[in-house]
Amino acid sequence: MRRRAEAPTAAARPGSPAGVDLLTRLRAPGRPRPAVDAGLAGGLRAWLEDAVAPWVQRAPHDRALHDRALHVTGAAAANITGSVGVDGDLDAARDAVARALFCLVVLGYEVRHPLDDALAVLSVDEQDAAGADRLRHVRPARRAILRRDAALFAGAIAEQWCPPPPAWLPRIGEQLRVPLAGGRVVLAASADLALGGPAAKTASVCMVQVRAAGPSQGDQRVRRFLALAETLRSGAPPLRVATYCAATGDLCCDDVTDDLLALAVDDVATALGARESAGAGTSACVFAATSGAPRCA
Amino acid sequence: MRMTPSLPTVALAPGPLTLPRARALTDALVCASPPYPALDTAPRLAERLAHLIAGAVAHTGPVSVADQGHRSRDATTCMRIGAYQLLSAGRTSSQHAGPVSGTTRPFRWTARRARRTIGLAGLRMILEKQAGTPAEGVAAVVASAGGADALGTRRPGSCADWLDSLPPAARVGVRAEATTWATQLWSALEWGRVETAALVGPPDRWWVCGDRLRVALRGRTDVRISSAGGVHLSMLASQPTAESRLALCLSALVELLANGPGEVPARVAGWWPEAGKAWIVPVDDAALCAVATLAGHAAAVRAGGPGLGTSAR
Repeated sequence: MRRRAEAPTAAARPGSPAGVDLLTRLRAPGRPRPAVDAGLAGGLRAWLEDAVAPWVQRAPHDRALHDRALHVTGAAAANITGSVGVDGDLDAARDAVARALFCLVVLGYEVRHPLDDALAVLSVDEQDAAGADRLRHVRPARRAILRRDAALFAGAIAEQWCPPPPAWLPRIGEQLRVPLAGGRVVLAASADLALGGPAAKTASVCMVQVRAAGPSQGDQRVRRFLALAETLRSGAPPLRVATYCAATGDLCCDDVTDDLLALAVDDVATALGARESAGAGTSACVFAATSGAPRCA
Repeated sequence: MRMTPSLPTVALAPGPLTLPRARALTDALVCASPPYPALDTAPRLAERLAHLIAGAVAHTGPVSVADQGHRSRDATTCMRIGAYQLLSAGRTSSQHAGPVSGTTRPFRWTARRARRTIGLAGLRMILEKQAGTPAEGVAAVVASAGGADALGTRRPGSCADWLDSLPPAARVGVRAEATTWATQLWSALEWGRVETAALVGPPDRWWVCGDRLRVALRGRTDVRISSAGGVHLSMLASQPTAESRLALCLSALVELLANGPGEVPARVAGWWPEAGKAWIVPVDDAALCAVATLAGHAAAVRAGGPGLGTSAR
């Protein structure tokens, strides 16, 4: 699906066919869902613990280092580099605005002033508040770009999404943190939208990450990293993980399988190895992530 | 060198790993457990703990009043110690025993800080059959914040007052954060099994001591379950740390000091939805002594004293 928004303002339309279509693609009601293998999460965790063990053994075990655990994110696993934060580059600001507009639409809010509404959402967020304040005072040219993009995103999101039924237990901005090696390595991820209650016998959770730009090669690795983090966190794999690109209206969706999770484990091991061979060694470094984009502190 | 390893540790029972997690956690919370046993020794223990906390701050230097909680009517400085301050104190190294108050910023509501208040109000609406899901309960609370009493007393600076001041889009942002929080707590338990015994979002309990510098310990829990000897369940952000087990016990300590041994829960539980971890900590004298020691350390450090690294240990 590839659509371009035309209207500068947009409204969420609960029950609109397009919104139902995307939600249906995610949840696929009526389709059989895979049974949960209760031992899978433990096996994946053991595999990961083996992968991080060499890194941990080479790192001195002191409490200070423990407090500055290595945080591996989907972006790191996908070998994506860049910076994030609405106070940073324009792409990051676009991502933040797209996520804020997505939040508004899936909660049924009628977006009338896309950029102002997005900044209002960001202004109550602890991490984004300062950046939102700076964005209000950026140069007029840059602000015009953001305003145009925000209108584009709002139109696309409102056209394609509708509020999910409350019974699906929608969660917005859900954070995941999976400690490994006694907390010395942390897998950190986030889902802009999570649907479905905790799994018991069959997979039920769907997760969506929202980004402004169109699909990129690293998206799939970010998605499977999210699937891995959710599997380890909850003990059951999610049903589906997806990336929604607000600029193009693409929804890239993966069914979560054992093979996909195995690839995600490989990605993490590769990321750790690459980090060491790049000279970062065993020194503590923190990657924090918002929807897959990394920040190195 | 850090403080926490020198503190007594509390026995830890790992959370269950079977699926669904809510069933396993609920099983663990409602299973029969002996009540807090020290009915006869509790008064002496309470006295000792009170003395311990008061002694920790008795020899501190001048206090930066502006940064320490608030002034009461008689102009005595009152320092509030909650789980956050305990966790911070636990992380404080002995090399950095100076006051942490200088970095304290004035409290400001954000979506993250408001999510618990609103989320608990939303869950109460479900238990009162006024809403069917966390999303609906939270939406009702946010929509009625200005007029209804779902968020408690409306006064300047309150959560309801802040919500009223926000533009509509920002209120939706707050709603999103609170919905996620409430859904995570709602999904953590099988509520049908604890509903009658559970009190969601009970008022904070306080215990105050001290003369020149008053220390107010705050006992806060998200769900108080009165069956099975009593359980306090708290939902916490991020992931558990070494200090978490003591921070969990703070609500039990405040119950003992403020209300006596009859109100002390048999266990305290922590649920970290971001990490999918649950801890259940049995409450006993050793646990209460450990958390009292850390509370004294936290008060001393925040007041600019040496903490337990030198004098109070």
